[in-house]
Amino acid sequence: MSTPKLDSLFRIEASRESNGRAQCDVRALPGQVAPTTFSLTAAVDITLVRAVSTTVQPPQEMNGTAELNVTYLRQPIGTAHVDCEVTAQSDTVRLVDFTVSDADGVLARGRGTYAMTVQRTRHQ
Amino acid sequence: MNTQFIELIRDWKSHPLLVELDVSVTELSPGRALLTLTRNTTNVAGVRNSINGGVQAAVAEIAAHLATSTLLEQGDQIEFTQDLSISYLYSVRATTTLIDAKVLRQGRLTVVDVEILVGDEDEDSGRLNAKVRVTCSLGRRPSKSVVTK
Repeated sequence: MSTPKLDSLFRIEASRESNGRAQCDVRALPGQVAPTTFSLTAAVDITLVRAVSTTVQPPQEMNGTAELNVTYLRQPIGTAHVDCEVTAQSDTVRLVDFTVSDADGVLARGRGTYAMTVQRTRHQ
Repeated sequence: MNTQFIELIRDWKSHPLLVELDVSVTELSPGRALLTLTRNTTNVAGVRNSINGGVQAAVAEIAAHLATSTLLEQGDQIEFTQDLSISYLYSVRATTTLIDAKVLRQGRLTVVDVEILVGDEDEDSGRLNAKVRVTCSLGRRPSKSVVTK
């Protein structure tokens, strides 16, 4: 999943994704010392989608995020790291657990549900 | 528009995220913030040519902070978002989208209900696209007075 404009806007960098897992770093917006939780919330959804994209097997197709729940334990300090992992899956759903951390450790945890569809082949 | 919050609106209008995402403050009153998000080449980055889910969640969080800001007492501040839950119901493909944030509970933990709706210009005007609940942690601003021994 490529979202270069949003990556730039929310300062999402160094994205890595493979085998049901995606990670990125989120830097502070210009004039700020740490990323805002708005940026982290956006980064979590974007990274979650990237993690799901590595698990798609035709005829499955990506349909969209259904639910996202994030709990922040504290404000971030400096650059934050988002780590999303697909922890359970079916033909119609991907369950993604994620952690947001910084130099002081974990600052947020959460879970997302991503909806999938299965492309039906038409019989002639 | 309630003139009581002109300064607050001015602060948020200049927020780079809101400018780039084409978000404007439409209505602000005690305990409520109504924002308008207009489709542009930055915010459309989701499946089926829709507005990105991360953008929706981020703007909902901003709207919740703005609604909370209208009720802050002297010396109080929003420390951080403690919890955010969003249920995406439909893809957001309208020309304009409304983000309507209403404070449900005011206190050290302030709970805000946010609805993401199809804007007035579209056929499905008023349809609920996503439902969000945001909990904000409030605190006191550090006192400027310095205590010396």
